[in-house]
Amino acid sequence: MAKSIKEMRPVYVVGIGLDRYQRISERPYVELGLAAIRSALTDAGISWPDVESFYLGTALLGMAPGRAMIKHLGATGIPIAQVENASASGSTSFRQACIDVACGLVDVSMAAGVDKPGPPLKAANAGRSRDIVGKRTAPVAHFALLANRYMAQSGITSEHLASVAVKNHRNGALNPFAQRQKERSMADVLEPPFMAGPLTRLQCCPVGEGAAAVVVCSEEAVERLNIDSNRLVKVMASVSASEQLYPPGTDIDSALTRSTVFKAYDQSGISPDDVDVVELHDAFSIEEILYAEAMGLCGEGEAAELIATGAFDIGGRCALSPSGGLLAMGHPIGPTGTGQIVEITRQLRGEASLRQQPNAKVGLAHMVGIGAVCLVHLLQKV
Amino acid sequence: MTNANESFRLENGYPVIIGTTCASCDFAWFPPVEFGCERCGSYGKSLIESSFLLKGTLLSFADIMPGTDTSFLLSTIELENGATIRAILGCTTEMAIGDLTHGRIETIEDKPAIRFYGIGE
Ligand SMILES: [Zn+2]
Repeated sequence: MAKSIKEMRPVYVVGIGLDRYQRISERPYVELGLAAIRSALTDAGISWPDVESFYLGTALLGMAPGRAMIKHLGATGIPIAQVENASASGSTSFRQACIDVACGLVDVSMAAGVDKPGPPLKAANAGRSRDIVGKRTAPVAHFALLANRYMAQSGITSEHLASVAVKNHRNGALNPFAQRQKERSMADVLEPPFMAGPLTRLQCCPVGEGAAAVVVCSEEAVERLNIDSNRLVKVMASVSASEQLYPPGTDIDSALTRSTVFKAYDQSGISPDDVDVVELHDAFSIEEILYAEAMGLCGEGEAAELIATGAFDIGGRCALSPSGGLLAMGHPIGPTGTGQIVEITRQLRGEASLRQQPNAKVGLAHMVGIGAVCLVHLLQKV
Repeated sequence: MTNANESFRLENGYPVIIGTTCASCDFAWFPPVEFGCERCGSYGKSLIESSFLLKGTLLSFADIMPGTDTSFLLSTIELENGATIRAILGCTTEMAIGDLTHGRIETIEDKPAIRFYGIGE
């Protein structure tokens, strides 16, 4: 019978590293990626030859960028693969690394993500077209339509919507790896230009460059490599899903998120009330409201008011997007999902400094990708 | 009057878009599906070209890039046969989510194009 990851060999996150998300620079992707990888190895206290398999989440770099990068760590001949799954590429590379360890194929695996934005991919744009618009509708248009519909149904205001961005910029201002590190007031966030519908510029995530890396390993490797057992974070669930056909008028992103997250809860025995920190796909402010409800973190129609009144701040009942999320930390595509695992691991270890959610024990990472796909991981402090 | 790639036309005086109906599960698709039905997986002769009347309900709309030369009102519309489409609103009067709406074929920048309006317009 099929098993979930929790029923297989335990998998631990033992090393994390980032290269700051930022506007596109002249630095080659190899340099960004190596910085994150070396930092993850140092954090784990292991060396590159200890790593037995490698997955690179990337959507924009073209064919086979992985070996051209990792050869600079010393060519050890390990199995590698690029993982492309749109915005969820980095989440999917993490899942592949977890699967390698859970199955017993290797004891130590690394997932990384690196990207530099380029022109959008045509195949991805075809994913969801139902239009006679005759011009390409960007993701911001899709989420503006969802935002206006949600606002009409729930009665929330533009200030409610903007409060997501105010919170996430406040968190991002405390994160040295965030692309946007400036606190923004409600007035700042509501300042035009409007990109689409109620979404102003600061309610849309910046897409820049960056890199993230995570080391996962088995219990045996923890012992053999003398990895600090006080800093272990266990992977409790890894769920990957793609869009099904929903009834007409359904908000696809919420429906897909709900079913994927609840599968992860089922597999792990974790309930929404247990979750202390969440990194989710807040590419646009409305998404955090929709997904908080879809994840069962509050009732339907309640998220906006709870966000506006601080319940999901750092120090609140559950910290949503403590890294700053996609809105402030940024969304360099390939690294984003791996970067979420970095933030959650930091939080669960109690090493998040000024961004620390007190007493964080359980974290949830969530990405959606155009297509549509959804990836959810639940992590727990050991 | 037809557009370049025949995705809409006038039929008996009424504007329609050309989509696909799945003979196996009755689902209506726009744009047309060619390779297989997303609901039931049927393909080949099960996929029948059908015309859909441009009448439906406004599920949402949003001003895209307001205040710029390229701004337009984008909408999501559920047609009477269940197909959900994205379309541009041409209305000059206020519309609200949940309103009934209908589409017309117009000439925009020398090309035929569809615009949706409120029922009174
Ligand atoms: Zn069918």
